[in-house]
Amino acid sequence: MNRFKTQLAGGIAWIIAILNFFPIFWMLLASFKSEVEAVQTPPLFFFHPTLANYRDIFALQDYAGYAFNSIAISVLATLLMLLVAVPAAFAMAFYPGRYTRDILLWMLSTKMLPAVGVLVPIYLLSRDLGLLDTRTALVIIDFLSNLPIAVWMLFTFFRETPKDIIEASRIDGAGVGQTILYVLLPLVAPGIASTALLSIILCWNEAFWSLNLTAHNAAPLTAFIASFSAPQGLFWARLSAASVLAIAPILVFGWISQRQLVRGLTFGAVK
Amino acid sequence: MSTTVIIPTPAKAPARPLLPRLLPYLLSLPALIVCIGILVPFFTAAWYSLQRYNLAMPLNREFVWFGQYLDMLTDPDFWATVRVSAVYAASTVGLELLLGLGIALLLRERTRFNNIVSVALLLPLMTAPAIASLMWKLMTNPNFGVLSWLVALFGVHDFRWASAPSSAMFTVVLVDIWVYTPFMMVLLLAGLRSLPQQPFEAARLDGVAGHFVFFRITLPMLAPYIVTATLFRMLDSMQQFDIVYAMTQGGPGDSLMLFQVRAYLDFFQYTNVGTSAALMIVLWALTYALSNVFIKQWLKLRERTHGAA
Repeated sequence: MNRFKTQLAGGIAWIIAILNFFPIFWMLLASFKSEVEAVQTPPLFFFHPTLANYRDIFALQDYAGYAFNSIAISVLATLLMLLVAVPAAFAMAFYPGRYTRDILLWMLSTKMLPAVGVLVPIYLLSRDLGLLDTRTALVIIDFLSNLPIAVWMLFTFFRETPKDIIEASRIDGAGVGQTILYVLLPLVAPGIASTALLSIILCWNEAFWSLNLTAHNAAPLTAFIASFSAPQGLFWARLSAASVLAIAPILVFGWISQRQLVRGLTFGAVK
Repeated sequence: MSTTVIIPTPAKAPARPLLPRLLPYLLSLPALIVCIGILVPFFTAAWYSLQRYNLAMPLNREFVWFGQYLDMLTDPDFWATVRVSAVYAASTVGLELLLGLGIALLLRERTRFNNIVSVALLLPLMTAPAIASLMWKLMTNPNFGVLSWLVALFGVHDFRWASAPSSAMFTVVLVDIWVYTPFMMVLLLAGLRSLPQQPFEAARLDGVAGHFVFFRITLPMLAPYIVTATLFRMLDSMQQFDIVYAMTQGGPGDSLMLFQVRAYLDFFQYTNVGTSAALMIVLWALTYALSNVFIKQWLKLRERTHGAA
């Protein structure tokens, strides 16, 4: 009976995993079809795969440029976020004051501002500052929108770090710099890594601001897909190939760093 | 969240130098300033919401106080938006919670197989929602989509998915579920695995029935995690934009005019800055009120499970 139940659970898990993967698989499949095959009924599962769509994209579109924008924006916004969030979370976790919790909740509540609501002011502001269609604007916005959640995550990680350890290392004669570098950093590094990882994924997938604030110059991959699907909406095979190229880097990246990712996603909720 | 502050202040300790004492404040200052900075565009939007302000008619710009909010109350379009948003948020969050909980229970044991499956389940979460919508558009195209073909095999012909008002909500909810159920699953799985084992062992020794264990032990102990996960999803779902806009742009007709979608169209189609801003302020107020309820619940539950926080 028990064995049967385990096997049943395993079977259901398999089915869920397959259903879960199917949309990605189907798009991957479409990206290797010809345009005619991609819209054929009944749908084709077996066909002669072609790389023509991928060749077209690299030949006709500036894929490398968009990819560079995605990478640059995600990495810079994440670094900037860490630079501001780590000290703040550190101070709140290690030197909590009477208002620390209120400040944290208030910071988190700025996440509730609807993006469309602040679109007009931000659009006008970036226009006046000459920041439309620049990577700088997107870096700043991604940084701003991820900061509250990052402070919160880092705070929950830091709070789990034993506080006595700082005192202990100070008593043993370590300076402030040494304490931070050799004692504290190794302890909190996993938390920082998880936060950074989540931030990179969020920045990479961010589409709303990319679409509304960039044209060609600073557009990341999400905007590339949109610009691609508007005039060429009927070319499903090529659109699929473009989408695969846009999500592949982040899926691979996420798969490699799954442990940190899961820890990042479950921040706070578990502790 | 621990707020117990232990400040060792011996009566005659020499006053610590100023800099170390101020350091914690200095460290959190940039983050604070930035968060206050985030509020600037918000207040600008609030300011716009009190004005009749259409970019196409700049001369008509006028301060109308709460006029636009009052107009909303009698506007059937506004109530349609409220209704559609409520249905969307309730059905996505509800179904994701049930599915996420089910999958988390299924993958509860730390076996190699379960770990691989749970990582595979993360893939949709790492996919940009805008691109996830494209995947589903490809699958649900009424003419050549693989899902249309599949339901036709089961005798449902000419199912129009997102392009028919009657099934558009269903289709978009399906996409949301595909993208975000993993989030619920991960959170609840982490919660399940961190629960203390003694109550479960005791129940097993006493031969307590499975459903009794689930409703009387698992669920109550998991409650704080359920509340947090639901809160995060609820906030996102009320403010949904990416998926719905990419799938249907709020259509067909008015069937998917969520708050943010309507406000976006108000601005881009009708250049109406004022009404768009007012709509967003209402959404913010709703989100804020709802999350306060959740946070209170969460703190209460935490106190019960962890002792006084």
